Amino acid sequence: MNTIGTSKSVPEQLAALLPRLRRFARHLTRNRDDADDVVQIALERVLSRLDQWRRDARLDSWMFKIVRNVWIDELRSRRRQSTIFLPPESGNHVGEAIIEREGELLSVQAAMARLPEDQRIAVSLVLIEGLPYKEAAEVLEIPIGTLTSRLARGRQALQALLEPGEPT
Amino acid sequence: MRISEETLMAFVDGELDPGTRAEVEQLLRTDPELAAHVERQRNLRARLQSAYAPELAEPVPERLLAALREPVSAPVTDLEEARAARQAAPTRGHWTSRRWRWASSMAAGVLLAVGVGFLLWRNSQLIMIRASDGALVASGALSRSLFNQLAGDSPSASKVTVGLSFVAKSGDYCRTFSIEHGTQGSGLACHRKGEWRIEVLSQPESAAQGELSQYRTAGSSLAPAVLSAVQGQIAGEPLDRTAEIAARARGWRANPNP
Repeated sequence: MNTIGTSKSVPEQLAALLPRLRRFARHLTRNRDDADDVVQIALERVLSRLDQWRRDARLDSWMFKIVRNVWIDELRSRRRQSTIFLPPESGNHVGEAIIEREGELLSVQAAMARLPEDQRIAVSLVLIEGLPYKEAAEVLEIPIGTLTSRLARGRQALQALLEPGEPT
Repeated sequence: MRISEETLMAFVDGELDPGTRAEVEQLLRTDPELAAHVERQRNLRARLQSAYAPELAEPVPERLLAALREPVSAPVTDLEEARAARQAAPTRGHWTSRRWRWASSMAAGVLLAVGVGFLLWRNSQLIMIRASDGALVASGALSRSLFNQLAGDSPSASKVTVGLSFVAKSGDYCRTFSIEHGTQGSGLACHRKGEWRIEVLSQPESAAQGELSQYRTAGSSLAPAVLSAVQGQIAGEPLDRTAEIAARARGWRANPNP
């Protein structure tokens, strides 16, 4: 859908991608407000750099990668200027309304929130956004073997959380 | 034949080549345990997708659609530029408003302590604020601007805008400033013994709000903490341009009759 021959303009294609970009950014930032900020900056960045997009590349993978880079830049900048930002917990957190009680089944969102970041992002890209391994590995700038090992561990952890009675 | 966990996962994710996929399918037909395992993996994938599907139906905020309609003209190379672009645009992001809330909750006294971090404010390698005798004083481009620039003027080469000038209750001349270069911020400096002492510094800039807006001048965007410091210190009205030129001619030495 994002390859040569499409009749839609790039901004139109980006508009169609927005829901997925926001969803991915939420997994990345774990904060809805940050997620939308990251997406907005990624859009501004990408529109000024369209010449760098290889037309044979998938626009969605390219955008996921830019979203991730914006977030990495933001985290670096927060570390540099740690005195001037609100602590991260004061934001509108994804999943903050979920009440967990011991013994109660976890929601998928609550289980995802318990995964280590690396695994959460890998699961988000492949199992939720549906990227092929190769594309997801490129977004994260890691070898495919690293991606699949994060995926395997993430899956195992999710199954343990979501189906505690079952053998894994 | 044993099959690796990795291959099974790749099978569920549709990553196997046709030959290997056919082999796995063959095995699944004869191994119920393996088939159950694959089924659970597929269920997990389906469960994740359905749990997050509703997010795709959420309305997209207008500011994101606007970003697509009005592409920024200049290439955005870093977050600071993007922020500046967003602050100039009518569509504001949360990062801006959250920092504004931070600013409005700060008392002026606390800001001075935080101000040590602003020693890092740099403009072309020149430190704009330095410590002197336990106080923070303007230096470099900031000092030059405070001495020479008239309120509201922003020479293209200058990263500093002087917002307004006034005589404080102490008799000293004080001036507000904002810096827009990488790190943005605003503050209040008062002239004493040939130096501009930084009274208040605030990283986030913001439009003046509510009752304080009477002090807002063109080209300035001062944090509420700075504006409330102005309100606390000002004696009379802000200087007009003529009074500013006269004060500059006297080197901003304190008014003998405050």
